[in-house]
Amino acid sequence: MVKYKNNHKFFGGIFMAKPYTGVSIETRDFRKARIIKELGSGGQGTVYLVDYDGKKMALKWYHETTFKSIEQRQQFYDNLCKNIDNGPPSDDFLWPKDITNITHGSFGYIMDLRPDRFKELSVLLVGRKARFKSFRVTVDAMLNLVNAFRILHNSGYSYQDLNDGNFFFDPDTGECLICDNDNAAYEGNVTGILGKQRYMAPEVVLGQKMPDKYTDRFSMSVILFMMLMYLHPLEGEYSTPACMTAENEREFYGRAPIFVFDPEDGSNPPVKGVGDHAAAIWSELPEYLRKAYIRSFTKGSMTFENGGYKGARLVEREWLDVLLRFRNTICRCPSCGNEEFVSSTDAVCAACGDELPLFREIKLKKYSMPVYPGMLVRKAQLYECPEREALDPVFEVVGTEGFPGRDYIVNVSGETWRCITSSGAERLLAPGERMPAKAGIKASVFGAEFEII
Amino acid sequence: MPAFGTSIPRKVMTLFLLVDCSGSMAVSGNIGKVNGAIEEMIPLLRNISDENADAEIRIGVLAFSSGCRWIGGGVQDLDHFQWTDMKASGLTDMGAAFRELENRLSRKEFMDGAAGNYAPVIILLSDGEPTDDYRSGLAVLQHNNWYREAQKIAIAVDKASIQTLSEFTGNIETVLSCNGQKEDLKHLIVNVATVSSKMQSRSQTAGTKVDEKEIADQIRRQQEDKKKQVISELAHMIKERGEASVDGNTAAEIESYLAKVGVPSGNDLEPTYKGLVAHLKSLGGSTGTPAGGANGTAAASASGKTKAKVADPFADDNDW
Ligand SMILES: Nc1ncnc2c1ncn2[C@@H]1O[C@H](COP(=O)(O)OP(=O)(O)OP(=O)(O)O)[C@@H](O)[C@H]1O
Ligand SMILES: [Zn+2]
Repeated sequence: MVKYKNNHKFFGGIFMAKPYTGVSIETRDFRKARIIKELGSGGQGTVYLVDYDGKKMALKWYHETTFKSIEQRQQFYDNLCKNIDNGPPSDDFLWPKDITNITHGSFGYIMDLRPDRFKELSVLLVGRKARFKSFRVTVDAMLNLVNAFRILHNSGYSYQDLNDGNFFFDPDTGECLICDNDNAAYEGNVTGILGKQRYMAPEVVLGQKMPDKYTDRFSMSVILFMMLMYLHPLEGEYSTPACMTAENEREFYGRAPIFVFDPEDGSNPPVKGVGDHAAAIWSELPEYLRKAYIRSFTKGSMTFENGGYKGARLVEREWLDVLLRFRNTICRCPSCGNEEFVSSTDAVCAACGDELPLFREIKLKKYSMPVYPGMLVRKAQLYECPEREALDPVFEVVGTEGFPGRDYIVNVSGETWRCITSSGAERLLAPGERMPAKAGIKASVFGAEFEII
Repeated sequence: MPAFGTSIPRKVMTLFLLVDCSGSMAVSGNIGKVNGAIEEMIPLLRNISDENADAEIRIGVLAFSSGCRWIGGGVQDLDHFQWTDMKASGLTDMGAAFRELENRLSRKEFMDGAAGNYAPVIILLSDGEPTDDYRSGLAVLQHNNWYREAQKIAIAVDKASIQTLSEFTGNIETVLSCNGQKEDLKHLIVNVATVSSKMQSRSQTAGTKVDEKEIADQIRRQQEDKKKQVISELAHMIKERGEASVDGNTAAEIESYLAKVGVPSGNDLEPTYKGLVAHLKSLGGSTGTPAGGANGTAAASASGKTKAKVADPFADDNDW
């Protein structure tokens, strides 16, 4: 016979500071999560692979020490419960699905497992273990991120901790997955998390404001700059001391940040030998994109005074406009594979010197852009569509092998287009059908019109 | 366009290890554990570094005994890390090591990250009293700003004086002690190096300085967690298998047993479990019966090198 006197001590007492293999934990929904193994541990908690009602899921279990007080823990817990009840804003979020009861000083939440093809943004920026396939995929990734934040913000949330460790992307397709949604809270609620230095808005660094939608937007623009330029927008000659200390960080990211390409203050240019690549890209960017970055990091946008900003940060819809347009100027040279940002049909590949096979342009309401295979126009580029459809495709352009310029526009919108042929006849283009990119053709769909010139 | 696919510039965070290689480290066999720890931490550090867009981690190992020298010649990056095992013999010239470190903690010397640096982590490991005038060496080092900003942690092995080592760290709480015979020294070193490097190589939250105490606390907590976990799992195994019984507080029994044999560092608890069962049986508990185990965007390739200025590629397409 085996005697167990203080049995409960092991399974219900101090010896369960951390869950371990084999243990089952009850959730708020009266389900059980059985620990299979540990997946990894970070600053806030440990993540486990669990069997949750027969399905493999992830459990993030907070370190007891993550919370400064019982009140803060309760606040955090209640906020998470609310997020779970509301459900994910969109599929781009790896949203909490269930939560354990508070037990043994802490608790955890259940979420889906993150598929391996998604890589952490920090990993992609370092570029040693994985990297984005191309500029175009990068811009698609940026679009997906902006789109997800537009939906999140318009659902009334702020995220509060945007940084390179919380966003994951498929480097081949640009799909995004936003993780660590435990900080997301309804506007006006704070979770006590301030964010990560280098990504926090200056007013948060300075303690003038707690994170909200507006500070999220600053952090987002930092990330949108880094993804494309491979440089931090505020790190140049002036802000690169030999030793970056906490006081220095407060200065360069809080009190006196200066944009490396600030047209009005040239005191913080990219460090030679460090930011040369970024400087080269900057000089090639179209004016509207440069303006978007300048507006984001101009001193006004970084100054919070008397309860307001001196300059307005871009809202997500504005970023979508800029990036959708930019996305369709990234053209790959068929001879050597180099990508060029093209603004007209007269374009030469900087890598091999070949002229690019661009013959026609598509004229939209506000601007026109060269036609080339690989171009993809989405709803938000043409008209004000419902938010969740913003990135749905309307048409794409395919080429013809061995026949430069013989490009076709494929209707992938799911709607029939009304067109006018180059000779002036009316004609319909059904979903899935294509038409040649021939000068003079006009088309209209969703109330928007475009023309090939 | 500039070609796509660079990597972002990063600051450098250097991890310095100052290792006592005096004769006693050889006698106790501890030097072998330190060598093993450094070999094993390299891939772990590389992994941390490769996932960190804030900073790249570099490492410098300074061995001191009678005099001191940099293994591999100085600070090295993790891709080209050259390593030869340190041998232990001679005295404990800790002061010489402090002076040498002071000379190198300069932008013109080792702290030369092109995109700047974070303050370094400096880990000092010793198993005895310094034999030279370490105080004058320390006094020189204390004037160095890199040293002042650095995260300083010491590992006091066996009989090393915690007091002396705390003069280096500036704080008694950041001296971790380790009994090389009972505790897993190798694991501790790897842990201290990886946890401190990970914390120090990231930009922090809202101007709060990561401090050494937090690092030391985290390591202590990890070890405490690990111990608790091992105790729970062993208790679980005893219960499941019924090979031994415990009259009093099982956890206390297991804990006192682990204090004797040390907490296993790996995940395989079988050997510890067997020893524990034998131990419990020897205590005279009744013997139980074994319960029986346990995009397709590729462009159309141009045939010619320059684009043929075709008048109209759709000249034959009259329907459109
Ligand atoms: N849903 C998930 N599916 C699979 N693995 C996950 C999931 N969530 C987290 N992980 C893994 O678990 C580990 C810990 O994750 P966590 O987010 O707690 O920490 P972190 O990002 O390393 O640290 P920190 O909180 O300090 O930023 C990481 O290695 C992470 O890749
Ligand atoms: Zn080319």
